[in-house]
Amino acid sequence: MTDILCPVCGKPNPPEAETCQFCQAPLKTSAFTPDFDEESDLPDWLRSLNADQNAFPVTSPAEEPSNVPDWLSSIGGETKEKEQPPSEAPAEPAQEQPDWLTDLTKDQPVEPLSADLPVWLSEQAPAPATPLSDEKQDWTDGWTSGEQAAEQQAEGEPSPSVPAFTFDAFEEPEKPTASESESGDMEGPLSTLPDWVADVTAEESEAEGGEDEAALAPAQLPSWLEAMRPAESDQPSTPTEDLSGASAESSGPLIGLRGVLSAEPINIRMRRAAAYSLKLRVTDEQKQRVALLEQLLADEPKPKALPAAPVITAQYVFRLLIALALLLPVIWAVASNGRLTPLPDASARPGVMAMYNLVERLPADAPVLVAFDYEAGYSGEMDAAASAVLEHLLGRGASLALVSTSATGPALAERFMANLNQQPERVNNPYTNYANLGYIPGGSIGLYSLAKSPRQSLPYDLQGVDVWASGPLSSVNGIADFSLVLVLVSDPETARAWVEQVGPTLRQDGAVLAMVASAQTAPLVQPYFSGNPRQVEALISGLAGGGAYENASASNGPARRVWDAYSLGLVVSVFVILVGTALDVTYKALLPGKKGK
Amino acid sequence: MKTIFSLINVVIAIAAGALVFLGYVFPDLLGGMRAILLQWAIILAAFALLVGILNLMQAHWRKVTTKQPKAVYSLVVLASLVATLLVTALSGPAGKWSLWIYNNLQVPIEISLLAVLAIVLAYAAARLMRRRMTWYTGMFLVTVLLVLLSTAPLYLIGEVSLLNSLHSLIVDILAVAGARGLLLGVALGTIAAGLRVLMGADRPYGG
Amino acid sequence: MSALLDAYGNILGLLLALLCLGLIILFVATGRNKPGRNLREIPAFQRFRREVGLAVESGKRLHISLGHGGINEIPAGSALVGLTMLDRCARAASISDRPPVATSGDPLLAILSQDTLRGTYHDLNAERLYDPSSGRLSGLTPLSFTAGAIPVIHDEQISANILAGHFGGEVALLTEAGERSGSLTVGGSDNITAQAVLYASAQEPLIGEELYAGGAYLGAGSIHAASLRMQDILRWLLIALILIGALFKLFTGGG
Repeated sequence: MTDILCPVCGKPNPPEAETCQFCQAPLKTSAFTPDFDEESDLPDWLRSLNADQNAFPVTSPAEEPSNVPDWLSSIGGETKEKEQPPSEAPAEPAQEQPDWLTDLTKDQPVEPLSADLPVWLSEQAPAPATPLSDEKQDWTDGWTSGEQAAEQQAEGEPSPSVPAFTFDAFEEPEKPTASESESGDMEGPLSTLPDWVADVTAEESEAEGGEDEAALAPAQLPSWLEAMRPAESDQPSTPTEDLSGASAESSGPLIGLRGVLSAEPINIRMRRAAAYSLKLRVTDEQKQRVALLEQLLADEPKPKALPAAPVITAQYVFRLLIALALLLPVIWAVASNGRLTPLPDASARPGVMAMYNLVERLPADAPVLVAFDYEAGYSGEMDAAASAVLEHLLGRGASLALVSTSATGPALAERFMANLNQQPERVNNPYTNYANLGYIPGGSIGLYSLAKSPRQSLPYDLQGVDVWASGPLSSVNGIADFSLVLVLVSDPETARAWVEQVGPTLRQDGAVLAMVASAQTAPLVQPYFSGNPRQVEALISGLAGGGAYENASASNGPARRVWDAYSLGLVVSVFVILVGTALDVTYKALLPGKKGK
Repeated sequence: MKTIFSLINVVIAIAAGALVFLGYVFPDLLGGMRAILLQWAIILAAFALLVGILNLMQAHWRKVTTKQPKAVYSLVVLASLVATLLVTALSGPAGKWSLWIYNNLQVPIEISLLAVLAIVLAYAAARLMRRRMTWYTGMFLVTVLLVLLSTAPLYLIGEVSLLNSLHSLIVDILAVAGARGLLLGVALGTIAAGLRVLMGADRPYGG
Repeated sequence: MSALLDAYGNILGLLLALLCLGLIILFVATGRNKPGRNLREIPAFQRFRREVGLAVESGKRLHISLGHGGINEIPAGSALVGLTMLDRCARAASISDRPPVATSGDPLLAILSQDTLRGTYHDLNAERLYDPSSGRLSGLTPLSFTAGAIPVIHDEQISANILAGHFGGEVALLTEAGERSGSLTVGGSDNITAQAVLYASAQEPLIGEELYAGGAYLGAGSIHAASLRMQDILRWLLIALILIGALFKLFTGGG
């Protein structure tokens, strides 16, 4: 079954619904087809209204003048209908009208109208002044009708139900007839209509009633109005739509017209609009979805933590194997304290021999500047490489001035000297002819300042003593006054800084610069030693150089103690690299499709 | 206002850099000014060291207060810093307890890191062919092996004259030559970087 | 020759500096008409640019390590290049949820890295992205700096590590940490030892002066490309001088 359209809001409703679920308007009876079978439920005034509808015959379009538009002719028909006396409508006696209204219409003449004019237009001419009591439709009649209803109600008589928008026509037939207009008793809906409409019905009723009357003299129309006259050929002779089956409006301003949309369907119950709650009805499912959306939006700016990578991987195992392969032999070699591997030959290393000869040529109490410019991490190598040299220097009676361009250098120097003095032969006769002058700030800039004036750069030692005032350093006024400048360095840039900032000043005055460099620095310092003229007079590179120096000085220093472990470690490293490379090459050769990282 | 400060920064940087550079070129004329500016730079570097330490403390403190992962290590850093500061201030930089901290904590830790570095380098060399298998990678590995073998007398074998000759060739000639070439390129790059600062094109000082 | 250099070395240095300056200005002026000058492809920078985009998309961050070389030291040049690369990284990753982090081993460098980041975000009108802890001093000695930078690589969801500055052999510990955390490592240093270590351990090493070309390859401005061309010119000039000197010494019998 098809849905029923609501006559008020036009929305579809289920066929079994009686009222519209949107606007609560009744659905069963149509405004266009009043259900006369249900008149028993209707109030009296409404019932009478329906009766009036039946009393008004529909005039056929053929009866209408051909030059009148359909809509206009329908008004004429309505007028004619209005002229029919209501069969059931009770005729109420005319009410007394106010005198001012009577006077208003008394002197208005009625001019004859042209037969060519539309009825409504011809009737727009000044209508004859008829006493108000002679006029049918008048809004005051409706007023008095309403007052009458109120009086009836006050007296206890059941009064017809009055809709919210009160039209007096609901109490009376809405289409007043000519007789009614003559009697001035306009009790229908048109009782509240304007005067001109009342005049129209009155005039038409007169015209209807008096067919035998003489035709009105045609009025002289202006040319422009003549031009506006629709051609007779354009006017449909017959209506385009058969309205004979349509019901005529029984109420409202379209009373009597057929086939029009009802302005006031009789089934409308003007009632108060339904009150809708402002509170949203949120279901549980909707609440869950809202919460999910809020959570998604809140998590949006938060970076998500990525899953942790597994700890045990093939690379981890391989690293562990390499570490064990390197550590175990070295630990064994240190623990066994073997001396199976000979120290390097000093004669094959020119830098080592140059250093040895330099130290041998130093006079007693010679001031020597020693710079500890290596990091603590390299102390294992540097201590072993430089121990023999410093022991040789101290054995020659040199006075050492310890400096450093590294912030931890002074502590490193103290540690070095403490280690030297912990040797069994030095326990009772420790070295004391050294002064720790501390840290040189500014890096290369500080070295430049040191080269210009060491007294100004480092006026006191770490204990706050002015070592330049007395002692071995009292004869030192400039850096070139040092018999030897020995730099212990692990970084090539630091070595270059000493060569470039301090070297020119030393060369200028014939002073000597020597270095003990780590194995990684030696290749970059080598050109300074190999060049002509030499900028570095002597060079000991790494543990091998220190071992060679120990070999030359016949001392038993730390280089000898770790030499076996060192050489074994080198061999094992070569073995590890070879095996790893072979495995990688074999892996790539056997699986050519896979790309190695 | 910010534009004015930026302009002032640029002017100061360019002027200071130009004066120091010209002080090297004309030492008699601008040597004194250069020395003064360099002294100021040393003092600024010292203050920058203090600022850097404060920045380090702030970063780790923030990590602790915001309870970030592994914040306990930041707490250890802060506690160590404060303890060392107090001990050194009371004992002196060459004092007994200062040296005890240095000798028993810093030196062993750094030596251990360097030992780990040795293992890492061995592992990296072992995996090098897997990462990039090219002919110059092979040459690189061969050079590494030869230098390792020729650095010191072999275990139980002693010195091998062939290896000694190869060592001299590689280290004293080939490596030095290559290093010189790289250093020249680095020097040119340093010149370019310095000139960009002197021109005001590069403004690392927030200009 | 040595006496000549000793006597006029300063003047020669000034002339060299002026020559370099003039070449840079010339190439800047002429380069405006030829903006599409082809640069040799360096795989490290190609992969670096790609990695920056991946870091932004994956919500990870970049780690730029500036090394432990000071501004008032010989390695200042590499430090300045590192700051330039930091600036470019910050600009490229400005839309990322996690801004890049810079570690350094020198106090002056740490301050400059903070200033660089602040200036970059100010230029991008994104000052809300600036965090002072993004430019950190991770240690005062080379090994302590390395030890302080390793947790940054492991714990802060690093997508790529860019090592641009002065490093020593200890840089292998940083590359190892990068490999363990699964992040890319692009590294360059002015130190020869570090370059050898980076060649063996980093995915994308920058050898020699490739580090100093970082500004030109990352679009830091036309002056970086111009200075790169200047370096090329001077390199050939030095090669010519070395060859001439060697031949001169060969034919004159040394001395």
